[in-house]
Amino acid sequence: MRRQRGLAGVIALATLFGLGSNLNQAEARITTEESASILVFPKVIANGTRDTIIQITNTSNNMRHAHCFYVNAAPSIPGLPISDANPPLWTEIDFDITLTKQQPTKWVVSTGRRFPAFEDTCTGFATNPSRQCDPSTTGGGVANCCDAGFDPGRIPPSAPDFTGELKCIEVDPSGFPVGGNALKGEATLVDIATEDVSKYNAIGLKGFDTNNMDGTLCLGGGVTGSCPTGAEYEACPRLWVLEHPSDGAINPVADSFGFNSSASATLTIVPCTQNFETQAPERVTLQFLAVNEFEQVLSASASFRCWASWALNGSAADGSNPYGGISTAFEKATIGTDLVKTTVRAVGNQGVMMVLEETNVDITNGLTARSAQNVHTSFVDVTGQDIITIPGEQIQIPEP
Amino acid sequence: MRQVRRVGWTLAIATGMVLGASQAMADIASDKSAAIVVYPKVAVDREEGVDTVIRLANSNETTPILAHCFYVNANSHCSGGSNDRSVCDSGADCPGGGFCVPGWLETDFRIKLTQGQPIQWLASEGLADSDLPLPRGVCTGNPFVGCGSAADCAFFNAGSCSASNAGTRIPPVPEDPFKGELKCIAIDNNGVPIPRNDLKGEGILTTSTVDNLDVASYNALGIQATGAVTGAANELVIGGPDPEYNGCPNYLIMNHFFEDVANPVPGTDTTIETTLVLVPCSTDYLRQIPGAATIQYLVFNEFEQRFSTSGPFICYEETRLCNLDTSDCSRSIFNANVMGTVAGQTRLWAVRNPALPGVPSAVLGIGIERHVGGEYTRSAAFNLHQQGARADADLITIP
Repeated sequence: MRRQRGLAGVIALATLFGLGSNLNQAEARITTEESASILVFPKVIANGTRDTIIQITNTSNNMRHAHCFYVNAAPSIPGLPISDANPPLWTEIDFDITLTKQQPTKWVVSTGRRFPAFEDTCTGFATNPSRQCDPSTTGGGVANCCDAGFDPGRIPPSAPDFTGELKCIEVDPSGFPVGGNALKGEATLVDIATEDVSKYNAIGLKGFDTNNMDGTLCLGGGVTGSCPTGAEYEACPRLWVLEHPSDGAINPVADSFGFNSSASATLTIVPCTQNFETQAPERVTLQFLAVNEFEQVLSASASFRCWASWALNGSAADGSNPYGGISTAFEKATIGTDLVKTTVRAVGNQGVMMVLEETNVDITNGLTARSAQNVHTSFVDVTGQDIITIPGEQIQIPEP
Repeated sequence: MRQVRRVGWTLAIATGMVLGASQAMADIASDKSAAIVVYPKVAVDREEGVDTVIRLANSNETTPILAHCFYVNANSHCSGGSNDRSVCDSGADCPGGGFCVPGWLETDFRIKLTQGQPIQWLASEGLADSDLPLPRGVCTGNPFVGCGSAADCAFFNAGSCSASNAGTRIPPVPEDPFKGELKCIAIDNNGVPIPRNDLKGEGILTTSTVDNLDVASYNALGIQATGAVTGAANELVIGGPDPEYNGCPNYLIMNHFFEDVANPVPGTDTTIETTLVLVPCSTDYLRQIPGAATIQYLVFNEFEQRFSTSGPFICYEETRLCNLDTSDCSRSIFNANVMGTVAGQTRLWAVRNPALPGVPSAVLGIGIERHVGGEYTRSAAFNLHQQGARADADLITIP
């Protein structure tokens, strides 16, 4: 008995050694280039003007499952700016997907993917154009090869005027969260009128072997009452570094051809801590430090709940831009140069995730083009703990 | 019983090591600052309105940094014929009996960034002299005295010289049209590479004409230094058993739409094309020998059906996916016409091939997605995913 106790102690010590190593690694090492167990698509739009194509792939040689959440952060009263009286909806809908080994899948957010189209493939459209994907059928009951492929599961269409995020969490066949690190994803934002596209990689959080498979997902941090096994996933960064044009900067290429141009940027942010059970998002405050090409520094701050998509300028919120801008510090007239390096720091214990989208306008010829970028994170980050809470019923239906 | 106890100890230690080691991954990343940044695609074709904006920043807010940068010109040129020495894509561009000969030429230069400073330049123009944000510093003891180094201030007994971009001259790319890569390496004042993970960058591929504005941006790929110093100062050891820098990945993974498929978004009327850009991890700038490998491609459609192809890679590859295996796109295993589904996954990896004229090398890359056939051609660039570490080290040798 004594020997068994000794052995148990040694195993515990060794496990702690392992966990200790995990904690060392849990320093906000989120990834946009490696497979992970949680995928976050911070900017998903399906509002009639723009739509989003989601791509997710299983990079493992086993069947994998994921539980996904759309979080609708459109204003409660459409057409009016976000305020305390008009908060974001923060309505979530969730669904499950299943991917066979190495299977890629995709869907259009506005339509979802509601019906399997197992037999209807695009094969042969070079000689028979009717076999080409017909976008008007995407996601519908008569979808042609636009939805060809193994059915990943029923993916609902988004709510009208959807702006928000998508989050997918790897689960086992029973629905319990696991750290399989088999998922990768991309989002392609498409402007329906101009067919302009911008694309970013989903932000991934790698899972650890310490996952106790309950509905409390612990991102970083140590052992706590909520997280008895410590970090189950990599920590969320509190510090992000982005390079972007100042608001009103020229587009250097258009300018070199003699066209009058301007550039601007939009920053879309989601909090890492989310409680899908109480649906009560917490307020997060961010500090911005902007450095221009002369090494001069300006600062600003802003706070948000749930989701925010801010213009990097001082514009007031209105119906077309419900979140408004952050500060005039990002405007060329204020900061003085075309390029700005901004460090974003989340105050307190919450981490955030973000994606940047630049808009370039050729004023002379009336043309607009956007491009999305994954934002850099910093190694010198503060390690803290974020928690994603999933309602127990969504993991497994309770038996009577 | 003693044996059982020994097994228990062994098991326990092994458990700890496995749990600890399982997280010990540190790979190349495009979303972290690094000591080497790689811009896989720099394109200039002013006649077609094409140019690239290069952004580079020092993420260290307290210490300036010096970078040694290399443009690699991957243009092919005609040899003989009526267009002798002109840039070509194929033999058809070299009439009169000429041959289109692949090229590989590097041009290098240095950039000094002050603490926290971002800069950008047009690849076709470069950046020098008064166009630099901080062309000269000022003496801290007398801000009216300009300086390039502390020696200039010592003469006036005016303190030290403030940080500036003095010493920076970024040349334009060597020819127009140009295609190739840019690589910047953190160095000290003596030109010796240093393990400072402070560089970050972006490449903004832009087409600007009267009829179209198309902007596609990607993050420069960052190769982080480990802090270890091994071997010769001019030989940068990337990965392997004794790495100075994190290793290049074993696999690159690309999610893409199959070639020529219609954009599935209702209300749109374009088809989608995807281009793969690959650059080598190993390069010998001293002897002007590019990296080379045989690339194996493994392609999966949404039915989990698997296909593969392969091809040689030397120096630089920029090819539409459907031209990796055939010149007839409609018959390619990357084409939706053949694969039957809209989306696919391609895994690719570099295999050492001594028969190829180059340094054995892993590869890095980006993808560029083009939506064509509508009123405008619009594109988006994206960074590829990575998986696994290579047993062999890659080597960058600088002069």
